[in-house]
Amino acid sequence: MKDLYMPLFAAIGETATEEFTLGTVVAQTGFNAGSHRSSQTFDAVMTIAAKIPRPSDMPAEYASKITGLRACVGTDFTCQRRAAKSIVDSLTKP
Amino acid sequence: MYRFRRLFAAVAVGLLSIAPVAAAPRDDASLVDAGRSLGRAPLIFHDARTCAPVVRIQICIDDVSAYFGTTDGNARLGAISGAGPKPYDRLLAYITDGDPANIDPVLGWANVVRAPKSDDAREGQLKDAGIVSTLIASANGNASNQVPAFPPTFDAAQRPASDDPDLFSPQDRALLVSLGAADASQGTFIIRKANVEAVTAAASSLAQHADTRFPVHAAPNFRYDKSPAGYLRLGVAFATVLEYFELPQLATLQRAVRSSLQGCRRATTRRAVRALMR
Repeated sequence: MKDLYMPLFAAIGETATEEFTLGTVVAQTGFNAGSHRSSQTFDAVMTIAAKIPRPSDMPAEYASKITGLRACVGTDFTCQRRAAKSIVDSLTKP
Repeated sequence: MYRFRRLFAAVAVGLLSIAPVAAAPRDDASLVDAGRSLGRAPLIFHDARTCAPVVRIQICIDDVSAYFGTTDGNARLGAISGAGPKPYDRLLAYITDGDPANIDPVLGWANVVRAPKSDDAREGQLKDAGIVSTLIASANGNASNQVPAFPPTFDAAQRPASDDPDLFSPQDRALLVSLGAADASQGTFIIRKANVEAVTAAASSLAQHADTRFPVHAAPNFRYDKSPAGYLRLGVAFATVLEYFELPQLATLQRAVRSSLQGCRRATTRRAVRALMR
């Protein structure tokens, strides 16, 4: 797992947009919280989540939810999973 | 006269309110999808971590809810020896919040709750096809042991399979009938070690036919565009695809992954995705 994600995040940092990275962090955070994967990978994901600033041109609906997810860093799994689900629900609604 | 009119109107309204309303017929694709949902539910009982991807939370809740229908899930699961209080509520809480203290591992092995069955033969066969293509096909590669004692859901033996030539191959229909017969005779559906390879191979063949005719929609249909939200969706989809690869026991999702990847490749950021996939 670690072997898979570390190069991935390294590659994302060089080639993709901040929003793309945020999306991967949202999904990964929610997945980690759902499977209670408290490994080095989890720590790395949350470190990235904490460092990523709020994109200036992100619609307010998503920006506030992402701020909510970042507020969950270091807290319980339920907070992280619900915050991630809230973002994904917004992204998938028609 | 006026009173008679009022009385007639009241009686007419009363009759309308109790008249049976014919349910709208469901199309074949939605019936196979309903079967896939019923087939995923026992996999969730067996390992609720399959619901870990965020995009799967609502789908998992819908799967489990459909499996129990209108019955009281707590009461039915509570009959299992060793299950704690309110196991159904705790299962949903695990799916939603990811708290492993809520999951009761006994559900995956001792569950005997049956999914609701269809009264209509054609509906039942299509649902069974969805169940087989999800539940049994997912056991492929697990030939070292018998398929876990998933709760029986097949009822093809109780209703002769349709001869409609548009519905799957003769081998597919024979598989559905044989599984239904095994269910009816054994009471509990278990694929024995002796024939697990043959059954899962046949189920995989059926799954291929089913997926070709009725494509799997096991993941959200993200709308990708050149907007911050579009790139955000792409990131969620990409990470979710990787998560699916961590869940090899769900053959249906593996197939959905391939279609998701194709969606990513069609997206405007295909160059970035290609770079990441190298």
